[in-house]
Amino acid sequence: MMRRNKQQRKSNPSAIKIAAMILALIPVVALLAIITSLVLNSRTAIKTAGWGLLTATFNPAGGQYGLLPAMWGTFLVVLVAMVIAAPVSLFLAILANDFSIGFLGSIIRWTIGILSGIPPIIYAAMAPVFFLVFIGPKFAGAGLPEATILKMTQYSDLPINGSTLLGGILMSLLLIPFLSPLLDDAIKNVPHSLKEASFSLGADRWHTLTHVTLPAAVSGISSALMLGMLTGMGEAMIVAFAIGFEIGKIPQPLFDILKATAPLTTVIVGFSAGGFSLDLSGPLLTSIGNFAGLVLLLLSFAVLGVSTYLQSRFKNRFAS
Amino acid sequence: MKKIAIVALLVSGAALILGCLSLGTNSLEAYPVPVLGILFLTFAALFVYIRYSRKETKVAIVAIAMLALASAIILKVLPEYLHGFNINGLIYRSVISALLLIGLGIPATCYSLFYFLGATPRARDFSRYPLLVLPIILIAAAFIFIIYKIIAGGAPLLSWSLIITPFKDQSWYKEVWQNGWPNFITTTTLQIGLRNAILGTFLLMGLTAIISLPIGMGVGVFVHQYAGPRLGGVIRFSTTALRAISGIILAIIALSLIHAVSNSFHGTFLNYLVQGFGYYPNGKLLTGRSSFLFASLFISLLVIPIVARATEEGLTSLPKDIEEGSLAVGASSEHTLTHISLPWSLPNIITGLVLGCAEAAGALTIIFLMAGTGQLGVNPLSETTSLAYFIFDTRFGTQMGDSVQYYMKSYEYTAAILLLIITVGLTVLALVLKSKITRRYKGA
Repeated sequence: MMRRNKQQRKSNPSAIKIAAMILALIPVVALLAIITSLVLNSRTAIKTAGWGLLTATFNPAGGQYGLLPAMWGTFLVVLVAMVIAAPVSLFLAILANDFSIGFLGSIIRWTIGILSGIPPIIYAAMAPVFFLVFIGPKFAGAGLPEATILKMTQYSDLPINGSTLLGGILMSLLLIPFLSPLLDDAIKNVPHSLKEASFSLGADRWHTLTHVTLPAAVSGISSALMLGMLTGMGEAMIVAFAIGFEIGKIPQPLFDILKATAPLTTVIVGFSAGGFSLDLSGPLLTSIGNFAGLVLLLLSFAVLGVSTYLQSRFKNRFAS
Repeated sequence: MKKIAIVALLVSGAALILGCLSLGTNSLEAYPVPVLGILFLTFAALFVYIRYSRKETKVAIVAIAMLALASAIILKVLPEYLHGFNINGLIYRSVISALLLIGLGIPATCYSLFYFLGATPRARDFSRYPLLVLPIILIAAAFIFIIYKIIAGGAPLLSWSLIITPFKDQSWYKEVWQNGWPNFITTTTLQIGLRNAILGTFLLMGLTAIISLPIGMGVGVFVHQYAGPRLGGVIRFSTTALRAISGIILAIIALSLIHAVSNSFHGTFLNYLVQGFGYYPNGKLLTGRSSFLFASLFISLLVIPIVARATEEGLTSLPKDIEEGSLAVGASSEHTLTHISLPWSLPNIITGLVLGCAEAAGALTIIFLMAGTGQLGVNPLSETTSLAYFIFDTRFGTQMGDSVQYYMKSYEYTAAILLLIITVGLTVLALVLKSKITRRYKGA
């Protein structure tokens, strides 16, 4: 009887199942198509430049097409954004959970929820304003006579045409509403029994937080931070407005965030779309743009994989 | 005890406030050194007092006092501008003083609050609030500043006529017959307005919702109901990955697709379908950069994961007893799905869809390489435009080859207000729906 039923179901699957299956395969097909398209389009670049794509100098006239500066730019801008956003989001999550007074928790959650509706272009459009009020007076000598500035900056530039710092600050504003709900969940999911055990032994709230709650939530927190990094890596509008899209050199000193080091996302635009002019900028440069896209894709997959691994590894830790 | 703790609290609070203000302005450079000096004196006095009244040696308080003295000396020695070392910039002294003041002010405030509240364990908890709250206040100030700037810059220019007028900057030759001879007169239309950008945003949202609703629901239902662990894992990974990869990759692929179509099928219907078209006032057929339909196909790749996740969550949240009740009275599993499970998860799906619409309204990363000014009209087959793209255009319009940057540069914040109303409104709607969902029947 069972076998017959099974056979019947196999030979005659319902229309809903077939439709759902076809629809469910669309994302898979789309992802495969994306990867295939990137690989096919970056063939020219790999043929022409080979391993030269992973060097530090970009000089088309000399036949050097190194993409390392762009990768370093991505790393730097995400680093600045995460250094600002991670503690603030963590503090917000802590305030909403363990250190909440009265309605503070729900106020924080609603405010963050509303702020998460602000699209990136808004922050991007704020880049000139933030330059005027923050970067200009603090880092670019706004108001100084030109001769003085020239004397002071003989061997360097001013961060006038954008800087990694500006991009990182604006990106951190985008990341905070994204990160804090995730961190909030991570902290909320720590079982109450653990905290109560700590309280019953006489620990105060701060001691419980630093010695019980945060260590217990570390998997969720690190996985959330990985997702935040992923968002930062893929962000293009803010960095286009605040940093620019021309690939340059790796900054010297290495962590000079006052220099504009364009990240991968905008470099892709600069190559493939000729810096917003929308015409493909020659087969080779377009192909290099696609290769940069492939690199970004692989980096994203790596971060996503680590995040998923962390989540799955610690998933059943507190299942009682 | 109380008195000296109050003084220490006031001084360290002043140091904190001064540090925060120093982040925003350069004009307070006279104050950090004296404030740090007073901080040193107060904390030295606090240390001596604790040493003699409670017979405790508090290393942290000495450390704060010494660091305050050291930073006061450093700030006194530092020149007004730091430069050299190959650093690309002139770093003003106030950056250093703000960092020092905030870095010292937080522990100083925590400790003085601790002693002010009587040095009990409860006071220890309360004394951590400055550390937790201060970074949030700084970031909140940044958000308030952004919103203030947008409203102050955009609200005065907001008017009804701006909303109902489409942007037009067109010039063409008009044929006029004079004395039996044709005469060509240049006719120019210049209109300032945001109508097509607003309508384009709504059209983009609608098309994206129509495309991504069935696909997202299909993914959610299939993964939850039918798929085995391996196939389900593959599908789930692909949907997550679609959301995780950068929109710029999708944009580049869309761009190369447009170019491939326009090279191979130039002038055919497929070309018009992908690139979009419209008519000039003199009746000339123009192709755009890409059509709304094509753009929303790519945006829906971002929205499908949201809808799929929401559907799956809704189906998972269905209490087992309801589903089993339906199966027990003889309903087939398909009937249960369409009549019990999906209606149950409808609020979740709507929430996901609303969030997806907000995403589509703000999704610029995908469309900014294939959108235009919206002069070719707003229908699924005309050139893509949206408020987000309009804001982008007021900065990069000249590079994109249109005159929006020239004529409408000052309306940047007005468009930002309208975009914020749409996206934030949709997000609030989704939040309200979500809070309604969490309050319903959870099952036995």
